[in-house]
Amino acid sequence: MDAAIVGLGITDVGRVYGRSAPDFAADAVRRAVADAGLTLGDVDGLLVSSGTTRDVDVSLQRRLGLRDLRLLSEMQAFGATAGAMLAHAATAVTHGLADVVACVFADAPRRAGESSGAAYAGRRRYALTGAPALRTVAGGNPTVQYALAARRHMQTYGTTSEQLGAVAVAQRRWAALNPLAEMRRPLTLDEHQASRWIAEPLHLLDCCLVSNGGAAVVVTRGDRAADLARPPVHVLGLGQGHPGYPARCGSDFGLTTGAARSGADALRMAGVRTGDVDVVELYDCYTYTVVVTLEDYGFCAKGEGGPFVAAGHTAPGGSLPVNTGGGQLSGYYLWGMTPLTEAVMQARGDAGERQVPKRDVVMVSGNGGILDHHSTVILSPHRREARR
Amino acid sequence: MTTPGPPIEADAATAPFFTAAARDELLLPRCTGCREWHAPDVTTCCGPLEWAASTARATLVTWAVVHTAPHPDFADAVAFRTAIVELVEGPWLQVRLTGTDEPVAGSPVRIAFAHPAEGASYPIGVLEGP
Ligand SMILES: [Zn+2]
Repeated sequence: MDAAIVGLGITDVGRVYGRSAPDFAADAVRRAVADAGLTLGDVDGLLVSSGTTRDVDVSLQRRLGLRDLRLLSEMQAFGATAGAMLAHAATAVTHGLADVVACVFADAPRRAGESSGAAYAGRRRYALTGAPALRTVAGGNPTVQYALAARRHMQTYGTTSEQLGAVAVAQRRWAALNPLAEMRRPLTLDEHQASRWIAEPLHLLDCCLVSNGGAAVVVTRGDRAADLARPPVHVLGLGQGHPGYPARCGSDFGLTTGAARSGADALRMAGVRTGDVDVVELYDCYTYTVVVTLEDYGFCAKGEGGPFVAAGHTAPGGSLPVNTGGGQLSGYYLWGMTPLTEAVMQARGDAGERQVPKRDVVMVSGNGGILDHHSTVILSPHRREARR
Repeated sequence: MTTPGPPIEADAATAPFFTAAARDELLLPRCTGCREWHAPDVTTCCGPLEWAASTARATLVTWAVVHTAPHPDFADAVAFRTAIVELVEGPWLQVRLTGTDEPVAGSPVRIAFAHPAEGASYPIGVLEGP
């Protein structure tokens, strides 16, 4: 594997109205290509992914006027897609199937004057027939399913709502340093605890934002990357884990996720250990996923994720900076592009006030479905040979 | 008591399950090869599956209190509990959970049935002690 991220494009993100997801996607690709010092004519590979609006597809090629592509696909593993696109792009450029691959995600679920919850509920499809309908009449939905996962973790390991709140508080402190973040006002644990229940044990402030916008990265071969406009961010390790939890006794649902397999594979491929990782950018659709992913990656023992965060390790000034842009909870919600974009900014040394001092190894997660899909990416400003 | 939530219906694969629910009986797919019991959505094992009667006895795996209606037809029903329960045969089922005890993982749960005015009958959980 010899691939690097050489371009990064993020559109206006958040409560940005009047633009469709394909509009954001095209904007993001143009920005990423320009950031790399390239032109659209240099792009010979395009990987696209959709959020809730499900309208970003391979027609983005025509919208961008891209000719004679050698690689083009729509990909979907939900929150794990950014990592999956990056893996596909990195493999393609390594083996010469394409030279310059743009990977893009965009979504536009929010409408003016509408709450975050309404933005998602309005687009939800309810299973009303057959076995899937049982979850509907049981009162399930994605947030409720994460609440069930979090409760199982709490019952099994003693994780508390205050520990989940510590995730939100730490990330808000990072967001305060990030001009791209939507929620920058300081947050206290008391405010977290007082925020209304969405699905107990999850408070409102355990849940991510909902954002309109798009983000793209441009990937090329590692040995070409140094000649381009911006400092390259090399892809050292990749992994995925799709547990396929059976609905039966012995299931690890809520306790251990696909991060365990995915993280181990990515670390092995990169030739590093958790102790070598300087910055971690985790998929934080809910505070709980930060806790369980830290455990599954091996940054702390199983069941110790809550106390680990509550001890302040992940906050600014802590021993393991996590979600340094505020994450999806306080920064912006672009599915797997939230952790990936922040990782690129940190690895480049571009993160301004929130820049971490040591950035040789950056670990990034993606999580999709109800803990059904996981991807891991390990990035570095150094090519693998040069790093050690 | 009126039943909250939207009306649902069987499909071809689950017709026996919902027909049995209407007469307060819980059927689960069971493998005729390895004799393993499965959750209602499972369609594949080492041998053909047949619908077989469960004891309808379970223990609580996890639960949540739903405060934001997950479907508009639950708007007047919040807050309520939803739970994943483990039947003694092994499969998991997600059900609305009734009962006044404070739940903990492992609490005993009996499967009962909702018979809404519209749509198919379906299982619910009754918490039977902490
Ligand atoms: Zn079998």
